[in-house]
Amino acid sequence: MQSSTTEVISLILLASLVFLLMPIFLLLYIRSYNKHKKNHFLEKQNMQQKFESEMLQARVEVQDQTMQSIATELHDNVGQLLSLTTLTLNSVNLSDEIKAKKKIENSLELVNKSIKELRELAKLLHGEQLVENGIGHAIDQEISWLSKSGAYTIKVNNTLAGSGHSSPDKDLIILRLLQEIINNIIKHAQATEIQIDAHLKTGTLSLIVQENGVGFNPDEIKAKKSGMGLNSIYKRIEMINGKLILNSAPGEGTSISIEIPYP
Amino acid sequence: MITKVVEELDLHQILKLCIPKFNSYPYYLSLAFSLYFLYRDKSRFWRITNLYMVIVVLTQIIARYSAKMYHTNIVTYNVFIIFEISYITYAFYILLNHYIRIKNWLIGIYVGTMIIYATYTYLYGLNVYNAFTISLASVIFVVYSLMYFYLLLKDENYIDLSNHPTFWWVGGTLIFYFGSTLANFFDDIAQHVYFGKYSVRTIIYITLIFFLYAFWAYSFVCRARQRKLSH
Repeated sequence: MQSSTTEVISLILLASLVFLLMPIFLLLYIRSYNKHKKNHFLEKQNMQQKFESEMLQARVEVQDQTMQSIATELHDNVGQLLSLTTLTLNSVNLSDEIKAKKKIENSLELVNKSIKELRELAKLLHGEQLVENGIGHAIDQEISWLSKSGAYTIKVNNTLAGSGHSSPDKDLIILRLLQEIINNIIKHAQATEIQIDAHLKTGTLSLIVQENGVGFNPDEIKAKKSGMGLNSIYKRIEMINGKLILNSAPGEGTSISIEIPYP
Repeated sequence: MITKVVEELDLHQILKLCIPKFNSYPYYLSLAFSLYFLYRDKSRFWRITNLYMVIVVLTQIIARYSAKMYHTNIVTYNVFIIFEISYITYAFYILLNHYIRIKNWLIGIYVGTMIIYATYTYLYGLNVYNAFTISLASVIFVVYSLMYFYLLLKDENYIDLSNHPTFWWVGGTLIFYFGSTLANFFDDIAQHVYFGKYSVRTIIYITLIFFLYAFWAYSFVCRARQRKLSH
């Protein structure tokens, strides 16, 4: 009898212990899961911060590039036009009316041309607004500046301007990537022909830039981990879940193809 | 029929009833924590919690008084069941409503439980402990607790659980009602089997009550911290 009571007590206490331990283990599991959630949350926060800092960097670089273009344009173009205007006006001899009239007309033409150039510059000053008008528009603007140099034969096939989609953060990154690629072409490629294709198809934006310059060995450049801003290009592409295919070989020009999920 | 076994208690004896015994320490301590940490709280839920803790301790005193006067305190505990079910349901309404809209379900289940309580009382009277209703409520509260934890895990936002008052509140509630489900199951046997001075049922309940009020007391501390941080 005594032994049966002890057995009952043991059974009840054991069952109680199990019933007590089950919720306690459940609580411990929730806490441990929550710790993982915390790590994931911190990681996400960290990535968000990195993304924001990268965006800021890209914005600063776009502005920097714009300022450089403006400085160059002011110095090489508007500055020259105004200097020429001053020279022409200085040489005006009022006693020779016919010549003076022609010189004044020339000066007026130069001033008008300067005004036109300044208007173009003012458009460029709105570097960030460029992106606000859509990436297609920004790409057009960028190409129009490149073509003004007259150093390249440029073929453009940009269908993004009328796509109606936009993604401000991605647009800024794409614009910066294009600027970086164009800078590389100007600085290193010695190209004469450039072809730029930009289009949007089934949620993927494609940007292809091809040139017939001196080319290079991509593996060597990657191994060096320096120069040409390639690492920064790859990093930014990765940041917006994009893909970059680089084809180049010494003497055979370069082709860069970028695919980005969009918008 | 309840008959008085003691005629009257003098003031000294009544005051003695208010002094906590070993098995009622958790109630008093939890009340002390709630009064100290929640008395300034503006949130309706925590104010009601404070009030509920007062009711819990008053129930203990009245139960001891009844036990002394009538040799039974079942009526007191039967009445307390109404407060218990109402408060816990209200608490889960507040906690679950944060994640999902199940107001109508909660109200429906609450009304259903109360109908069962009333029917049981009508059939057996207040002198028979309403174990059926409390067993049913225990299962319901376990389901609510698990649902809360499920929603908490599913929630994308990170919460520091070590300082999250409702996590500890639900934790205590889950342990208590999960354990009581078993205790209710073994109720008939556990009442008559003794382990030393106390019945097994009493041991199980003291343990569960200790966990419940310890978790709740800690949740009051967390709530006070949370309030300070939000100011």
